Amino acid sequence: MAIKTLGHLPANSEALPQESGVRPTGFKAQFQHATLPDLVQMESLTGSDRSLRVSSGQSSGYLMFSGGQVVHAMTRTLRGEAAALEILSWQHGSVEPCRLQLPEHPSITRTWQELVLRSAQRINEQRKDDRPVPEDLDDVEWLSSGEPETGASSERVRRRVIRAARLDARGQVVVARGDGDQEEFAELSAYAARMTQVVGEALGMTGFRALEWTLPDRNGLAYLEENGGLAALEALPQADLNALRRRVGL
Amino acid sequence: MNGMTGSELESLKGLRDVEGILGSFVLSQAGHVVLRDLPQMFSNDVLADVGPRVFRLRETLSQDGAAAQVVVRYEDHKLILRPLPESSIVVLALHNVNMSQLKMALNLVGRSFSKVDFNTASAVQSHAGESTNKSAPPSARGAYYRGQRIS
Repeated sequence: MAIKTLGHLPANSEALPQESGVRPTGFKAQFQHATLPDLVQMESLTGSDRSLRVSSGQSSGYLMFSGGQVVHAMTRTLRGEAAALEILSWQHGSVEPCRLQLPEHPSITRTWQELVLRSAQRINEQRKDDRPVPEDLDDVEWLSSGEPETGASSERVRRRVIRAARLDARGQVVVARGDGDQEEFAELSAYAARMTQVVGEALGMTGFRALEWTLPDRNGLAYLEENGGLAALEALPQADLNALRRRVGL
Repeated sequence: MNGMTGSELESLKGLRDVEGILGSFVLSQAGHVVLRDLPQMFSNDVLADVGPRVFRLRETLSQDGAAAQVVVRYEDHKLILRPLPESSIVVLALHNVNMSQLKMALNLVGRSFSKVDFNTASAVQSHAGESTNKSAPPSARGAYYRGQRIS
């Protein structure tokens, strides 16, 4: 994370129109590993009354301080707290002070500490949400637990993995979880895997390793495990199955 | 929907332009192999046995009327099934086949097959004198249409 900043410049810095005859004071600085929450904290602790323009890639937005509190924020599409949280989630970019007219009424009423905390929580949740399908089916908490959990974390996983099952080498269902008839999915996967083995043997293609199927609303993967068992899952098309493929050597 | 004209085999043979393709065949809706471009070592008897099974695999994995595209990975090979509305193309390939190229080739072949009624075609028949020698040289490989060797 690297934020290039021209922060802690006075209002008459080069980032702003120069006032004739006034010599700029203060320091021009660059913080290579600062995060936006760090910079918000610095502004807040100094009781800042200025505005910052934040740029990150193609995105840009504004954070406006009054008495050290973030009272307004805006991006191209968002205003208020939503904009502040959006800006605070950006991982790299640059910051420079700018002059903006404060709105008559603040659009953000939370303290800066609450904002930073909510931002951190949101980033954390986004990271969890973006993670690929767990490399091991055991990592799917609702797969290894007795019943699917109803918490937010479980929901995020469930949004991508539709259903999953594991069978032992004798074809017995060890675990089956997810939407619909899970036992049926386990049996269907085992049947399909067996069918591909028979087809492969007839065609001289031995050593069945995995079976993948693609449907408009889901992708499926079934693979032989080292212990001779079969693991299978169906996930939404946007799920990244590559980590799982790599792990099982596909 | 038209019956087969003979040009379908040429389309199927085009898949071999993708490196790593061993051959391919077409399944009717009944699971019969109605067109093949495979080395001679794959006898029609074998295909008559394999065809319905591959078709059942397609049916097993399909849901809500949507046919599944299937890739089976073996130790050294891959089997790829591309479903079409009235038929299925099945490709046998080496494990390191370029899947992007194959996907593109299958799109083209699938498009040319979209108006062909494979279901009125008879299944490929066992071919007398057909070699099952797996070490047959490439020059001995042949393409078959309705059980008759034509190349």
